Amino acid sequence: MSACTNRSDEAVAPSHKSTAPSCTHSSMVFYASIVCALLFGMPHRAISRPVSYPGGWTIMQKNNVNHSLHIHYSPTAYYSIGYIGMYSRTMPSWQGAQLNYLVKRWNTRHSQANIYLKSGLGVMAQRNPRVSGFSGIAVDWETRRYFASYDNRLDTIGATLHVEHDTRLGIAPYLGSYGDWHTWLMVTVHYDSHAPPKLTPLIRVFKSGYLLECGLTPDGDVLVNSIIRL
Amino acid sequence: MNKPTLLLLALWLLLTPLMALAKEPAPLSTPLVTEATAADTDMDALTDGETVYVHVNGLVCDFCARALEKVFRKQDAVASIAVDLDEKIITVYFKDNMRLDDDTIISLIADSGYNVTEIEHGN
Repeated sequence: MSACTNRSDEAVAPSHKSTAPSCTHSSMVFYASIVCALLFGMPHRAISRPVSYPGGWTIMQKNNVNHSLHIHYSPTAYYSIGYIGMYSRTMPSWQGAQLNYLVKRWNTRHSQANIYLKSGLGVMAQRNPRVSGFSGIAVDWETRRYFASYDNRLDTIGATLHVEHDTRLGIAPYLGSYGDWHTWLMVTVHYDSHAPPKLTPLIRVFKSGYLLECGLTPDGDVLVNSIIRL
Repeated sequence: MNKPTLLLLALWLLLTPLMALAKEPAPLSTPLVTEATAADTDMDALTDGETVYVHVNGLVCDFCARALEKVFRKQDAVASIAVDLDEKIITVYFKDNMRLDDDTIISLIADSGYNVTEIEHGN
């Protein structure tokens, strides 16, 4: 690094090679996602960004009162598609396909913010299978020190139309380098149309492509989420 | 404070110092590749290929770093890559007599969802 030459500021102006996906392809995905959102309207709550790098596979697992497994593949950095399965103590299992679409990303030197659309369509394992689905919007903002997110979901998986909201705030008590163990202290507030708001403190441990979250709900339920990004 | 919160707090108090201790100190002699892994840092000495330092906006976590690492390691010309989350710089080490031009580097990073603000060329 002693001889850093040939600065190419012109060649790398922010407008060059915008992060916006190519029009035709991305527009199709965008409208497909909107259609899913309108037509189907519970899913995998956002515990991290639901789209990976081009060619990346991600395994997301969530366990509390309900359990869900979402395995997705990202053909580009702007959408991912994959399997979603949900298992509950109170309902038969539900399995289907989920599409996640990055609507907009803002990159700055110290932060990143995203808007995602997430939609899924599947079938509940019961005597008379019924096609049902979900859709929602997820928004997040993150620096290396602070994290904030909100996501909502409208779903028709259960017996009635169901709306859920999750808001999360987090802080990293120390800053680690890439490959170090990172720790986040987080609080998530869950609200749905059938129950009062529920506040859950949790700890996120994060290293390279592996993320683990543990928390305890006010009802005493243990929450364990994990992500493996391959 | 309820019992679950106290348990969580106790767990955090136990884990956080261990995490901080596990963090390796950054080498002082290479300010722009301070977070290179041991293997990556070795590449600087092992290859005579060009080194490029790319300033990137949006690098906030290990997932970001891993994404760019994966994308660049798929390139035949790339010997190794190191990501510095503090400085928001990725260092790309090329194989001998091989390189990627600036437009390709910008394109790879943009297509991964990040923005290049500056490219500096090393040896």
